[in-house]
Amino acid sequence: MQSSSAVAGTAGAPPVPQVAAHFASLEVQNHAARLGMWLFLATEILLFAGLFVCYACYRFLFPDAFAAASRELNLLMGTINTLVLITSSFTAAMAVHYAKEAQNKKVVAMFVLTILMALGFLVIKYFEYAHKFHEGQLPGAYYRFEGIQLPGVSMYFTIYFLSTGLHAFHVIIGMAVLAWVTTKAMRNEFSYRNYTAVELGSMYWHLVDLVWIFLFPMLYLI
Amino acid sequence: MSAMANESLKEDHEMRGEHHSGPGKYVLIWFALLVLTVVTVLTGRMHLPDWGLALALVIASVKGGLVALYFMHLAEHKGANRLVFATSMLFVVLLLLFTLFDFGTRFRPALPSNATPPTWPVEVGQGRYGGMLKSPDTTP
Repeated sequence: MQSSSAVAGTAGAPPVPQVAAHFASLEVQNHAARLGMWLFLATEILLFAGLFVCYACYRFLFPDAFAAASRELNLLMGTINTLVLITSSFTAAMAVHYAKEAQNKKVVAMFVLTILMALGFLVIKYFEYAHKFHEGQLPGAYYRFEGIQLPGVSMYFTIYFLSTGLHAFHVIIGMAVLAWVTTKAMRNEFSYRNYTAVELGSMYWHLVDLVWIFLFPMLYLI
Repeated sequence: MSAMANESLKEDHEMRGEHHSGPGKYVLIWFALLVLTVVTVLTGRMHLPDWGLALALVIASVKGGLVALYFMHLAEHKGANRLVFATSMLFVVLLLLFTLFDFGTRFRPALPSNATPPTWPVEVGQGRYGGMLKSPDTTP
């Protein structure tokens, strides 16, 4: 396998991944990289869990205000965003599949599609935010929407902006990570022996999707 | 050390098998996620009174499970990866449950003035006294 033709170096051929001295083999190194990514994703899950707990507490205290406030959200835009994000997760998963088969052009295509859908998600999010700002449905003391004047409504919008804002921040970071991996795919780097960057990059993107899968019913579908 | 190497070799071997994670499976999972999204929107719009939240959470958990198991390859991975994910999920559930135990057992003086607390025996005059409230038939 070491001497297979896929590894041998023409210009731009996939490089052999370096195995660090403290790893017994490439497989062990990949295993460690994947485990490290899972540990990082576990901390990410717990970061969002803090916001979920905030939501649960205030929803328990102000059930009517939360129900009334959630009807102010644009369900159509939220649903489209969910479908966009799920589809982008699918293309990211396909990128891993193509990376294993050393089809780097298809990896690039899949990640470009993923990034474009992420951009679409942010554009839709921008329109939702702009509408909220216009209506004065803002967090905390900045809440000035005349339509609903229940105690606890501003808490709903505080949690809405905190959780969707943190999620949008993760979308932007995810786009940067995927763009970086895409440049590596453009240099034809990936093959069955070397696809860890593609796998871990798309794992991050799946986590962004995973978080939104829970945020969507919490915020839009009360 | 050798056990670890063996495990990842085994995992590596399993990851290699194309029947485990081909495009066909990804398309299937994608389609299931789209259908479940439509289902959760439809059931969410009905505003089901009591178990609407539970249903939405079940659907979200199924969707999240599909993403974690197949898109993130947990179904193919063995050992530590699954343990890390399961542990973080357990801690999320513990964090939620114990915080909600606190909020769920508060009585009116421990809540914001406009909050709607659960009905407690002390408020309907059944239990013994608790907090600042006493049942109506007690003599001071």
